[in-house]
Amino acid sequence: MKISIFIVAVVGLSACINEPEIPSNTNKGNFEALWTIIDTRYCYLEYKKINWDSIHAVYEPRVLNSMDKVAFFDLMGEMLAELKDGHVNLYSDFNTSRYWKWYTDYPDNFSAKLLTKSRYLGSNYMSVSGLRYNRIANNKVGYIYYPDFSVSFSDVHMYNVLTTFSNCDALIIDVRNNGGGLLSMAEQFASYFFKAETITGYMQHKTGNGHADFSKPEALRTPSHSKIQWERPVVVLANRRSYSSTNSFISRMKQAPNVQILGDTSGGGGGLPLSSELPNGWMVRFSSSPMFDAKMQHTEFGVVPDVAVALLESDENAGIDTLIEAAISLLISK
Amino acid sequence: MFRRILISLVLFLEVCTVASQAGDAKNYRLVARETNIGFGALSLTDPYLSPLSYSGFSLCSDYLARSYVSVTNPNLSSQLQFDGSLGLLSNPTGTASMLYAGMQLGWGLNYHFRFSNHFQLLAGGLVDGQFGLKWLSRNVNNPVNMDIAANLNAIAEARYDFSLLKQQFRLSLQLQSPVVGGMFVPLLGASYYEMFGLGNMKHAVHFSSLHNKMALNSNLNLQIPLRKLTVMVGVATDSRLYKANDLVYRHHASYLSIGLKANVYQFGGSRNEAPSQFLSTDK
Repeated sequence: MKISIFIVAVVGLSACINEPEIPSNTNKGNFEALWTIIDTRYCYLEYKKINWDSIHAVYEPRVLNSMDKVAFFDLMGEMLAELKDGHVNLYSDFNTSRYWKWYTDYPDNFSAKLLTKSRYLGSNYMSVSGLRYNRIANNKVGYIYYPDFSVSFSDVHMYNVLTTFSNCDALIIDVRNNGGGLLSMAEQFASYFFKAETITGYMQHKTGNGHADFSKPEALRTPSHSKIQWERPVVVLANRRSYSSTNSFISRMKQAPNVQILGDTSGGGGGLPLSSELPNGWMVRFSSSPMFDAKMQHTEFGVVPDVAVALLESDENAGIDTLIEAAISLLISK
Repeated sequence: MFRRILISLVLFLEVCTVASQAGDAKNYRLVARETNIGFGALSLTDPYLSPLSYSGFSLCSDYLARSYVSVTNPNLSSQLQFDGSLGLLSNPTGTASMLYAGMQLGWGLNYHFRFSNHFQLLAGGLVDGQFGLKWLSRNVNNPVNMDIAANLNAIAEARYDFSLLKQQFRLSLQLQSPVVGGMFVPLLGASYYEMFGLGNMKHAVHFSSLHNKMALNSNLNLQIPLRKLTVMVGVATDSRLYKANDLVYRHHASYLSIGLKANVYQFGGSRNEAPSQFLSTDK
């Protein structure tokens, strides 16, 4: 009798754990799965004032189970582009959807060719772990070009770079066309320029399926590096292709003493992306955790520079990088 | 006369000495050590990584050492166990793969109920710690999820001994199920960067009991004596279904296993040095 009561209790308790149903692996089922992932997990629907229900109403009739996979993929890519987010992609085994207007609709303000001019990096620059560096402006200014936050460097690397600039009066950090990478590298890089730990932003995550279900903001602190400190003036160069982790780096550096941001508004990408999967095996990446600056303002659409400077065509034709020259002027005038 | 008395005294003392030796006979606790390896199928669902179920093959190995707690009580035994498994899985459409690695370390006590010379039931409890890692390399920022749990388990083993072709065999069924404990299950929207980089672990650690965690480990094997060892062949399963943060996780593995069992006496340390007639390569 006792055993049967136990078995009934165990069977009853197991009913508390119901596995969710996965939509069928048809075009209709995959559409519903994708729409639901964005509806419940994408973090900017409310901030961007996107009516996701109306998106469903527009796209659902266009989805036919008879569509071939390429046509269906293109339609889903079109739907995701409604989010206007460079962190949203659909990955299949034949294509990757993307939204690029966050930088293609804006001027480049960068030319890789100009960096190879002898007055800047030249061809004989030093390079370590993704950091390309040289002394410029008659050795008065140190210049670092860092094109990828997914390439890690160590404290030893940075110590050696900054030691090379020990006789320089100032420093330029160029993160134009840096599409991001590791958030931890953004924190590490910024830590060399802070005298004390500083709250440089905030972060939230989704706590439920509702468009406004977010956790309390968690402070993003930038520590002060205990051994390596650069205390002379710094200018950070940014353009629209300074995205994601680079956006986070610029947002942090804006709070650092002796640092100015120069160039264009950064590209944004303030939402930390996560991934999920559709029944047909395609992967979707989407912004999940919104990040804010120190004033609790969204950074999804970029960080505004302290000094706005655009690359002039006449300068570019003459082999001059307007932004680097403006940074040198700003630093030397100090 | 004197010689008779002397001989009688010597014989009496000899008998007393033998009797005394019999009375001082020392009992020794042997340790039954079992080691198994298995190969089988694994399927799991981890909604933090993907809503889809991944399935594939898995290798597992487990070690169990059991001995009586005291020589004076042959009904209470302790056991120490360590399990490990590796799996390579893919999603239903074969477009992504997942690596799984898991381990469990546990210690427990069993009471031995002897119903007859042939049938014995062991029942008790076991405290364990579990750690698992699932790696879905295709994912961005959430490529990994960890299984971390500590449980108080109910454990039981049924043993049936029988003879066949003048050989002694044993059929054994071992069961283990968590009753209460704690587990790590992150919120679907929380990144590891925020949890471990910023230290925001809210809603990541959960109390677990039968209301949100159902699991059963089983091992059915036939034990065949072979010279100084016992060979074990059998089937094992590892099933878990648990829920937290509105996410339902599922793990099911089935293995064909083969292993060896031996009873050994452990010398070691300063308290239990081996007598001189035992020769050790350690000396």
